[in-house]
Amino acid sequence: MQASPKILIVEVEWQIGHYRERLWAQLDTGYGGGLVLPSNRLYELISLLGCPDGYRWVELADGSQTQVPYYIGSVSLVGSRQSIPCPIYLMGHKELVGLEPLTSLNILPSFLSVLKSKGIIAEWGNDP
Amino acid sequence: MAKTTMLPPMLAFVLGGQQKCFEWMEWAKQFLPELIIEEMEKALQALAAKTGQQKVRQIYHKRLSKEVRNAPVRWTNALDVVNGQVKEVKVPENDQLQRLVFEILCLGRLALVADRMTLLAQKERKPEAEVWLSGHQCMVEVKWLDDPIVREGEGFWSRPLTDLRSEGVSLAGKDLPSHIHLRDKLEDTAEKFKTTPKSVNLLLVCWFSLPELGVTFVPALYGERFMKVPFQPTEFVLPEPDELGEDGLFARKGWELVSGVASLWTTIPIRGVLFPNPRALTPVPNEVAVKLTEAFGLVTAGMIWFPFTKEVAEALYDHYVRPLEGQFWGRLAAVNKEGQVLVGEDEIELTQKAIEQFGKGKFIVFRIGAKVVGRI
Repeated sequence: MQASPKILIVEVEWQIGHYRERLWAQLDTGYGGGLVLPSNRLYELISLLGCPDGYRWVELADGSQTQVPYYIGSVSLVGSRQSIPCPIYLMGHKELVGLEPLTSLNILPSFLSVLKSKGIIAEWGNDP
Repeated sequence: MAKTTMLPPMLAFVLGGQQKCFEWMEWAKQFLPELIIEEMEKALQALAAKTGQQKVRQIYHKRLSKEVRNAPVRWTNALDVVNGQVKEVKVPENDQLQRLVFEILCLGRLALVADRMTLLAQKERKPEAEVWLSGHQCMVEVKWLDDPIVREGEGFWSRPLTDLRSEGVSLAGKDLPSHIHLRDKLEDTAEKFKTTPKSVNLLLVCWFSLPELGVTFVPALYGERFMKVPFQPTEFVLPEPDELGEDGLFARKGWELVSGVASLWTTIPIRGVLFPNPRALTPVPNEVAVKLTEAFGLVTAGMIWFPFTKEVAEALYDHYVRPLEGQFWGRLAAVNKEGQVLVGEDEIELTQKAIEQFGKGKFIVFRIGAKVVGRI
């Protein structure tokens, strides 16, 4: 019997302009940025906020390349009381939160030291 | 009676009792997967919540009872695409029942997002429902249409993409391009909206065909010269009213009544693309498009088009960013279509500068010198 894969979800609050919302997002440790919202929310955001601030040319996990609309906004982990300005991208099908909000909380070094205290050697590195 | 206790309650109410529902389901299960029957029950419940149980029964009792009796007893061969592979499948020769179920599923999805809704009695010249979305009155007609080539089980590749008759080539009716069949079948539907010119008039269509949107809906609605393969909704620039091809339905007299046509596919959940009419008397408002996205996951073609296609982005990078690789490797570059470039390290600061200098949404950001063009 195969165990179902677990993911870590965190409650975040994001804001673009005057629009603010809370949601649960999957923590993606492979993503160094702030927040990704599902692309099907673009229409709703355009009606609320006007056209995207810009477009970012990106490579997706499958190697294909595409342009991704984004807004400049801010994200905070609910309870952290620290709001991080970041680009909020609209792509894919689910809400993802990257490492940036964690970095600002300065908890990544503690996470590493906990791993190291257990004899696990780990560093934050760049994806080659 | 044990068998009937598990029956879908709203369907049983519409059909006139548990026994009738039991008989209906026994017959319908030959033609409809159980998942579809479950979805139909949810749709009927959503409709009942918005329009009242009695109204749902009044509209669908007779039709559901009749169509299940007319449901197919013969099967025919057709082609289907599964995981990108074309294969021959069996399909019902007469699928009025599936058409009716598709209508219920569509209207049920709309009921979930509607402010309020009225199901209209089936009449030749009336749409199926009046739906209020974000304060806008929308009239909705649902159509399930067959591509005759698929029904005959012939390969879609054997037909021309464009209408060769204008070049003097003689073609048998069945060999006409897919979009001609679609256009002919849709042609009269605009009349359904004759009495509601001021409402948002929406046509929801399932075109049971193999060819993709770029060679079916796009040329059928906007004209053959807008045909593009593959079709990317976010790269499609909505034609100006005077740019429409005269062979497209949106340029035809009477079609200004139609605000938009949605191409829906029969997946669960239903998905599709909405094609707005540039000459519509009442265009599809953004708030309505948002509600349709919520109901069907619809993408609205041309409403949001990404200004930088892959070709444009690559050309911009090659001409204006690649020369900077030696000096600014690893930094970010914001480029507009005129080739003006801003370089920076912080995406937020760079974006703010680019908005000031190029305008909101008028630039694309690359990572300079990345092995790929860019990466988040």
